[in-house]
Amino acid sequence: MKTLLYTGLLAPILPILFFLIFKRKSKERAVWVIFFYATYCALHEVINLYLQQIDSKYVLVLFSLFTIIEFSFICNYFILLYKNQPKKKNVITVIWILFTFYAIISFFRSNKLGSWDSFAIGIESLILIIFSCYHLFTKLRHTDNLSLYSNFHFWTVITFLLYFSGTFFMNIMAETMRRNPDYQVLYYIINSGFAILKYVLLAVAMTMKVKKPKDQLSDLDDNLFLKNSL
Amino acid sequence: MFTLQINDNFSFTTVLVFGTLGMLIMAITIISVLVFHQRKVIRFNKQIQKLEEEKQQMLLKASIRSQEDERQRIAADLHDDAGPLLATARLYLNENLIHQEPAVQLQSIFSAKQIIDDSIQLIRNISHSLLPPTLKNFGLEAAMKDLFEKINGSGVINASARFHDNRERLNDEQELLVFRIVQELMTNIIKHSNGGFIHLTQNVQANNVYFRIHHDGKGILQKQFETLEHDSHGLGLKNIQSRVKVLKGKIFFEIDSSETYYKVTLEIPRESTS
Repeated sequence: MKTLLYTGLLAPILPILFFLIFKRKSKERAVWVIFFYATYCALHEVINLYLQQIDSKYVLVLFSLFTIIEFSFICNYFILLYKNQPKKKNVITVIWILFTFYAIISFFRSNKLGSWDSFAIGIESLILIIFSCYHLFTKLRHTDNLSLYSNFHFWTVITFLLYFSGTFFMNIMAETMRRNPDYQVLYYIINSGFAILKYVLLAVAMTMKVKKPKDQLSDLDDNLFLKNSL
Repeated sequence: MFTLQINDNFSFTTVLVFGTLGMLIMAITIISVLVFHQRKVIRFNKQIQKLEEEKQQMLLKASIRSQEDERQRIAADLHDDAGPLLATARLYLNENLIHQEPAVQLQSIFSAKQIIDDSIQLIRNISHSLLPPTLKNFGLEAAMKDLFEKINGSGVINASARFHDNRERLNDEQELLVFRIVQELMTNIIKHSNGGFIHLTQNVQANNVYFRIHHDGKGILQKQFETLEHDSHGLGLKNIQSRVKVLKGKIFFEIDSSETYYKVTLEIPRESTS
């Protein structure tokens, strides 16, 4: 159990390390966002461990903050992914602002009550699962001859999809079940397991080529071809 | 606040484990669908590429065969017609000519001159069949009209050509290719259609030049063209297709709505005149 916990704590170092080896000269902002996200996760794990050891009441504050900052990082990543498609970029920006606004209000409310904000985490997970699925769906529509597995964005998006799908039920049950010792055991297993998976997949992503979004076909292309055809 | 409430009699562990597993299976299924779809698309694209390569190969072979046929025809013309003519002229002008009577000498020289004139005409004909002088000197419109007048003059078929808008001509290379395509189409129509008339019209729309041939004989449709084009015997059609491809154009074989006339439409995108 402790091994899993400590592996989960050390896992964020993997993508950071792989970034420094393979992508430190990268000019792609999306790669940097993932690097900063991994760094923030590592920092969060360390602070979380410290606060839990001193049995601090600020653990819940840390988790609420983590939800907002994590969501911001991933939304920024998706915004950069669609930087050439203003409509999608704007939709993501609006969702990001709305969620952040809600999460901040919820943060003050839940911390007053000393509760875990399962709802905000659940919404965050759902939004990010939808974003990931949408991205994969657009990939499905515009499949090219280049192998998917050699693409940085593919690995990053499947990381988010797997991580948020895997931890979804655990997070939405957290508020009601967090005092239950059986739940706590399961929480550590599921959370650490998926966290390790997330960091391993992000590390794999760091070894892949970044295909620039401008190389991807926009949604308008179908209409363009139809207009020009006889 | 929205959170998942667990009944006392229902184990939360079951909900958590099955919920997590369900979500995980969903995520893995989505990823698998994407991966398998991409593999399928890659396989499909490879197949298309292979077919395209085979088609290119076939067109290349057809083009080489056509060149060889043309060379053989020229060789045969030179060997069977020009060769004997010049040999006969040589016979008239042999060494014994100086020992002949002056009247015989004159007769021989006159005959040799006639034969040499015939040879010149023959060589001119061969040269004209390679590159029509009208096309070279006066352009596609004149060459087409000349070709149609010659066909019309044979009295076998009524042929006419009309150009509606030829203010901006195609470049020389395009004109030659269009001429060859029309020539090939005309040969096929005369040979196989048993028609009474052929009419060619030229028109311009947007940046495309259209040539349409109408005839009242037995024609082919697009599907048959595509089948015959892949047939090992359809050399002429392969040549047409390869020339259309060089022109980056399109060719359509259709029948009019009243099913009286067959029409062949050639669509050529205009390039800057060289």
